Amino acid sequence: MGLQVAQHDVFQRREWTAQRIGWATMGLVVVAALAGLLGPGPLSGRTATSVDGLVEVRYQRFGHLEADDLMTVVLAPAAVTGESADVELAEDWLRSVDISGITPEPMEQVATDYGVRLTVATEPGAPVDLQITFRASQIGPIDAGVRFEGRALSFGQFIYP
Amino acid sequence: MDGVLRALAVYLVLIVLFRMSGKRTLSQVTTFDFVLLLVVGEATQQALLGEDFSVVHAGIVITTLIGLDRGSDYFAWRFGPYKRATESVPVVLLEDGRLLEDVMAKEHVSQDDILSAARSTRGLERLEQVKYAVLETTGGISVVPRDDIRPH
Repeated sequence: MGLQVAQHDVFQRREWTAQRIGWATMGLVVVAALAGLLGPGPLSGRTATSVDGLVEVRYQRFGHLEADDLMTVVLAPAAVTGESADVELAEDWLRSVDISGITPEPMEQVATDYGVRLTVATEPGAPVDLQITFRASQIGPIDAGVRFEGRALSFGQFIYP
Repeated sequence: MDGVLRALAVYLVLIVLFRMSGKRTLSQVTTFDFVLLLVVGEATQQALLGEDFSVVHAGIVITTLIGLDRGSDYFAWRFGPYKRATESVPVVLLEDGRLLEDVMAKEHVSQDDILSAARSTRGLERLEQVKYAVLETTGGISVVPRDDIRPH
């Protein structure tokens, strides 16, 4: 009498093949996540610069839904001439995110045709680093825009669920 | 990126802690062990996920944890020293009917534990009927009966 066992060679070979494909896929997912293709990371960090190079926006190409994210608007010293600077954020972007904090705190926030104008106090000739922390509230591609004295920068972000 | 690094850190902390705690720790999961496991899970949750509760983040963390375990398994199969470091080695507790008291003391195994394993796995009644008892890497005690009473 042989061993009473529910062996199935064909199925078992298929399973082994499928498992190896699965392990490779898992490896790829981890590598992609580390690289920043599935969320914030080295390949996700981007910088948008105005034509004259005075305004720079650093942002993440990929983000996660309802997770902390950061966008930094950098004004070069040459762009800061007065006691204050007006940075505008596009309305489309503001509709897709919840802003949780802005540093330095704007003195004034005014609704404009573009979106919201933030007025921050500045020191003439000193660079401005405006850090905007936010959480994306919408899945998929979202359009972002920043405007400073007529220089409009627009770019896209992709939010994973 | 964040999720992968968090999972890696938690995996390393847990593997070091559980390895240090010894082979017997979770061999028989008692009610309290079960509660302890739940609490450990609860405590690591924050470290694993941070403030990011998105599905993709959870997926990345889980994939990394399972991948690490799979990779660790592979290395253990491939390299002996790695297997010993992560999974420990079996140790003989009773040899030719003679209890190795010093080994049993080191592993905190009592004669009762060996008798219990002998009864439950082999249906043996007395210690004299045991030829070998081995504490396996999984934490269980395996029992080899003496030849003259081995069932045919």
